[in-house]
Amino acid sequence: MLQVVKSIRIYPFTRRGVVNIRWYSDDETSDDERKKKAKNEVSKKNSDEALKRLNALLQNMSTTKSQPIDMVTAKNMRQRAIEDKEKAEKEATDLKSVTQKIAKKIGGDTQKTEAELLSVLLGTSEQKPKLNEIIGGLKVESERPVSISRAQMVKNALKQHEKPRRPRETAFSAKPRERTEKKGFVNFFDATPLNIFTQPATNVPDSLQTWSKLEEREIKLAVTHPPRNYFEKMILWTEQGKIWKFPIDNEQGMDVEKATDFTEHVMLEMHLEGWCPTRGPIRHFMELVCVGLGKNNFLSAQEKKDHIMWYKEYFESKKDVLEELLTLGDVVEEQKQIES
Amino acid sequence: MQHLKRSINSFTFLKRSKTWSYQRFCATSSESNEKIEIPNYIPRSPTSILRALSQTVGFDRTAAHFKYHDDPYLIPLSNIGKRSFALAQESGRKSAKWIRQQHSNLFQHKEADPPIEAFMPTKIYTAESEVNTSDLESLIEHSQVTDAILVYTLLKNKNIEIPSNLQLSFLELICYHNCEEPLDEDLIEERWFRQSERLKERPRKTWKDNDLAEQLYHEIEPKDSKAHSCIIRGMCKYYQAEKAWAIFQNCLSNNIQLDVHAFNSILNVVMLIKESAELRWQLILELLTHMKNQQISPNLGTMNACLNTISNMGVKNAKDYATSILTEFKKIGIEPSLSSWYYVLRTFCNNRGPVSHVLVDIMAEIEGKEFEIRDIKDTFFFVTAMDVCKNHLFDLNLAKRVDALLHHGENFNLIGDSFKESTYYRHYFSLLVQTEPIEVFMQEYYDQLVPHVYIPEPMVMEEILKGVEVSGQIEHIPLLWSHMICFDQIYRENLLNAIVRIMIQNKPDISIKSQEKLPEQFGAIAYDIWSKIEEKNELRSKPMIWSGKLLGDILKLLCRINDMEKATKIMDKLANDQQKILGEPDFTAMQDFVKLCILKKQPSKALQCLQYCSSIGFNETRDLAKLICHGFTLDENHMKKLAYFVGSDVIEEVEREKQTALSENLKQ
Repeated sequence: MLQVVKSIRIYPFTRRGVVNIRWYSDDETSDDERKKKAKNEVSKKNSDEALKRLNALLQNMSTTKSQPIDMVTAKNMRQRAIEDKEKAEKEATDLKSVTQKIAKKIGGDTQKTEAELLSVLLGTSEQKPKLNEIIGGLKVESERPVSISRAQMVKNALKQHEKPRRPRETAFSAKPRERTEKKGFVNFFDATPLNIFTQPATNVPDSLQTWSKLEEREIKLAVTHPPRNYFEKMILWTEQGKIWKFPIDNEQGMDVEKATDFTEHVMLEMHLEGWCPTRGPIRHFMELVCVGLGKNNFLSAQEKKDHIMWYKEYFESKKDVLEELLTLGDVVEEQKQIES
Repeated sequence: MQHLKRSINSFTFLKRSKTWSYQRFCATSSESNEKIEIPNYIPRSPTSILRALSQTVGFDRTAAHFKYHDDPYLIPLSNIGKRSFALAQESGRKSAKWIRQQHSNLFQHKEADPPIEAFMPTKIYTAESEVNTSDLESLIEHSQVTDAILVYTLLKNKNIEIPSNLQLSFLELICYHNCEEPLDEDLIEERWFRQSERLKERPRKTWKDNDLAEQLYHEIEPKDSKAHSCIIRGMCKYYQAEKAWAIFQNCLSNNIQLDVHAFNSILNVVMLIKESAELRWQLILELLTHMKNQQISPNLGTMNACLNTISNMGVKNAKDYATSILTEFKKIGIEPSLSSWYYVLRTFCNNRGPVSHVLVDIMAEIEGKEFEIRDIKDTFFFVTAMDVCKNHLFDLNLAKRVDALLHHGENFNLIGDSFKESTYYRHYFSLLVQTEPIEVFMQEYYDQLVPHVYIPEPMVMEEILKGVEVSGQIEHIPLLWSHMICFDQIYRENLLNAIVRIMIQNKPDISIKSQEKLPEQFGAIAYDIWSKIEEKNELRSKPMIWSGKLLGDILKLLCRINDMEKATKIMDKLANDQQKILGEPDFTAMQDFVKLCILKKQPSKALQCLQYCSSIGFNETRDLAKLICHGFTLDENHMKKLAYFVGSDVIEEVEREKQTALSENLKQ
């Protein structure tokens, strides 16, 4: 069981002091039970121990000064002031009798305790910092004397009202607690391993290619932020394929053309092999077509080939007409020769 | 010409010396016998030169972001402004794209050869379109999920055979995206400003049960390990843990070899499969042993999945588990990524547990390194680390180290998105303002980062004001006030009260050079508050309720600069709208006003103030009446009024006082 003097309230104006003693037990008990136990404890007058603990606590506890928080509106403030005054008058008793009471409550060497308390209160009833020094770690809840101006009271009340709101609860928001871990305590790579894996890890490519592509894309987009200058913007556009790649190459993206040799562009007669007559007007015409295509730099090699093949198809479809015409032409030529 | 030749000839010694030095040069070079090493050709990517150039630009923290440069007049200065500016810009691009798509027949000209695909409209598929498998292939390539689903059903209806590998990659696509269209790659701003998943949000099942993905999975016959892995990954990604676990167990019992990613996915959702921490840990061990038995090599994802599950346990042992996982994976040569450290932070710095300095150790591991993204959760590290610095450890030095790491090399890319960035800076700022002296804070951080990198939220602004209040450096107040106007924070009562309180309590000292102009500025600010709120109250349906204290303080500040006209307005407001005002002003404000009235010889205003005081019921009203009596020579009318407000005995008392004073004077 741990016994803690939670707070000593000192009302400087009324010269009335109250010691709140709170009992903490190891097991979880409700407040009521705690109070009962506390009473029992007092009745036992386990005085010496109590005094020792009080002194120890006085030395150890950290100092915090807090004032009771009151929500005060301006209007009822005045009324409260009057009430306080009456109350204070009613309750005003001799400081000595109060200290006696406290000393009795604490028990032990009552006279000594009383003397100590008195010296503290009499010496410093108006000087709080000094009082705090003496009482050390105990929480001192002090109420301001009623005689201070109303404006001052309003100000104080508002001050308390405007206490800093605690920052919104976040994942790790917590009051600073006692530090249980020293700095540099955690050693990440010196714990006992699980000893499941023994082989060094090897990098196996993902069997699901589409999935891994999608994942890569998402990871890349996670670090693609709005560009911070024009060059970054250009980088982004380059990656999206919207602008020329550096260094500038005006044949960029013409991959098929890069793979084809210039001879395929220029030497087109080979496509005439097999279907074109070796002599005559068609041959003559097709040779001219090949020369023309060989000089054309707007068509790809494949397109040129297709162009020639189109003529092939054309001539084949017109075969009947052509044959008729050609034989006719031959006859006419022969006749001319005979005539001459 | 001759003349020139002669003049050159006259410099023969010069010529000689030249040849001599050349010879000497040759001699030395042959002596040293140096080998000229030609460096290897470094392959450069199309963007290398741009990257090099971009590095020369540097980053000016006091300048607006590049995307806002278009028009200096329109540079946004509030969070909401920044957001809408950037998104509006992008929405312009979006609508251009829409028109291109919708009216593609109007854009027939071909600017580029070969055509630029990014600018081309996408093919439109309808229920009547003629489709083949290559369409589906290209749609999968460009991850257009909705169209891919449409084409797939068309192919099905027409009984066109879909090759099994294509079917699998279609399954992968819809599993990955949960049958939903992903955000377009182009929409960088939208991705940046999208409200990202909250840091501490519980995983929620979003998997679409019995949708196409599951149907397709059941249709595939025979199912190979790839199809099983794919559906398990998809289900785990969207937290459909139960079904995934069932399929997983089925595979194990049928001796179907799954891949490492399927195991990772299951490890990631262990917390949804098992209830208690002990059981979860057992399952992790079990799964890892299975991997070992099936000779599956673990990877970074495996470690991160384990750490993620451990970070959700919330038990004491979790820390030991985490370190043993880290040790185990270090042993087989897997280095933790930033996301691993993020999980470690979450494990150690628990809300309920004791304070842990694990971040110090993590920083010792990673300080000064440059990181590339290796895991999608890598972007969570920095914001969480700063959160720990602020809320868990309250350690300024550590926060500075984290910040230095963030700005090292290209690490800033890992900040995540705008939400994470502002969370990061919120923690950093509120830590700085509470620990650094206010002048250092203002000079080194506030002036540098506000408003272009970070705009303090009202909460942080309140802390800054508190810092100013504690230190008494009131010369920052005008700047902070103008920023509050920019950031749209002037309608927050707590901020208004804070700034007014600071101005009231710290009366500027004119003898100090930096505070010379402050009284006027304070008066201007006070009147600004008044006029801004009044303006807003006229416009808005939900007006802000004035508090008497605030009005009183504004009045006081105006009285300090002797501005009768403006002070009168406030007094009128106080007197006329008594019912709408909450609470009452400070009495000293009333006194100040009456003194100002005396100075400006305005008895009727002073009496109005007196009337107000008596109706409120100040105890000190009589003192005020006395002050008025002494200050003015009142005419009969005024006297009557005064007597009406406070009783005629005051006047008599004052008369008596005056007479005694007079007689004393006479005696002397």
